[in-house]
Amino acid sequence: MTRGNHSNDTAPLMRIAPGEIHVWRARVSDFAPHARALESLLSQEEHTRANRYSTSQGCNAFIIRRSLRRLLLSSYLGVAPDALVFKDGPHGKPMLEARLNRKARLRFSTSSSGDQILMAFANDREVGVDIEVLRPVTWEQLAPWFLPEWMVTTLTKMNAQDRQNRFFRLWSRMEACVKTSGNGITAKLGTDQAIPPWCAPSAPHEWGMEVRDLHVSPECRAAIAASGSDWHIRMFRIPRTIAYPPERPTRVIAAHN
Amino acid sequence: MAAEQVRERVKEVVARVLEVDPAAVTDDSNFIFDLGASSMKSLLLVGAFEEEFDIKMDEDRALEVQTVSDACNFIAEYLPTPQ
Repeated sequence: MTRGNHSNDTAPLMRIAPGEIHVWRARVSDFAPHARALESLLSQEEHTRANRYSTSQGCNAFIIRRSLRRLLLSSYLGVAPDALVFKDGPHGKPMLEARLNRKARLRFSTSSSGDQILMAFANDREVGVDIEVLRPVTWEQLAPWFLPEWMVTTLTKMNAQDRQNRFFRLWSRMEACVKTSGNGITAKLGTDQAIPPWCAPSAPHEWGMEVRDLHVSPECRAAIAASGSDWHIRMFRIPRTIAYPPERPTRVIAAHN
Repeated sequence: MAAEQVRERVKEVVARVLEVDPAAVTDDSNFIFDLGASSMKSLLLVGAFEEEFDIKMDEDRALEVQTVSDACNFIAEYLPTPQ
């Protein structure tokens, strides 16, 4: 079933080459004028969630995030965006219903902060992505949850700006790792390890994944993690035309960063 | 502490930490789905509850709490029973 003009029956599928991870970026504000049109792609459950936001800004941002995720997944799978069905993993990690994901190969992860959206797609490996807009935060409350004591001490000795940069670098790496593992944030995550991967990505660890920093914009810190280490990243920008019915292309045309 | 007093203080903390209109915080509000709590905000919320009520909660269990009503019940476990 396909509603509206977001059909995708004719254009070729997006392909992920072996070893590639595709990372897509967008700004919520670029798609704000099209939130109503994009809303038609959402499921009833997503409609309900969108309408539970207390502000129209939050509601529209949710609609845009979810519809862009559907449009990109549609381009990889060849399934109409409004026909995609999701389910939650054990700790809330969203997954595609198996019948829509042939051979269960495609994995994805999404993140948003402020106006920024990041989405990552990979075949045959778990992936997690996180983006954080730099902002004031009570870092001293958060750091003990996921950093070993020596790193908290290091942060304490930094000036405020360096500390904010480093804190969000560490946080985004940690979130990317946790999303890849699918285990969710737990108490004292990583504080029982001498060097968790988010503190020293190149140091040996037992997480079975690699985490790397992403350079999206100066006002953000972002990271991606994926199982194994034999992978490389291709960055794209989600074109605004993806949201333009009826003239927009029926498939995503990648705009290289 | 009376249950109603706990509920009002929980709602005040939720509105302050999640930066939402206090009027939007109801008993049934889900921190993530209704109030947009990120994982970072969820951790800050646990710390803010502990500070507000001067308690030390089981942090893993605290992170599983999803609604205002559930938070009130969970916090009540750590408070002296009203006479």
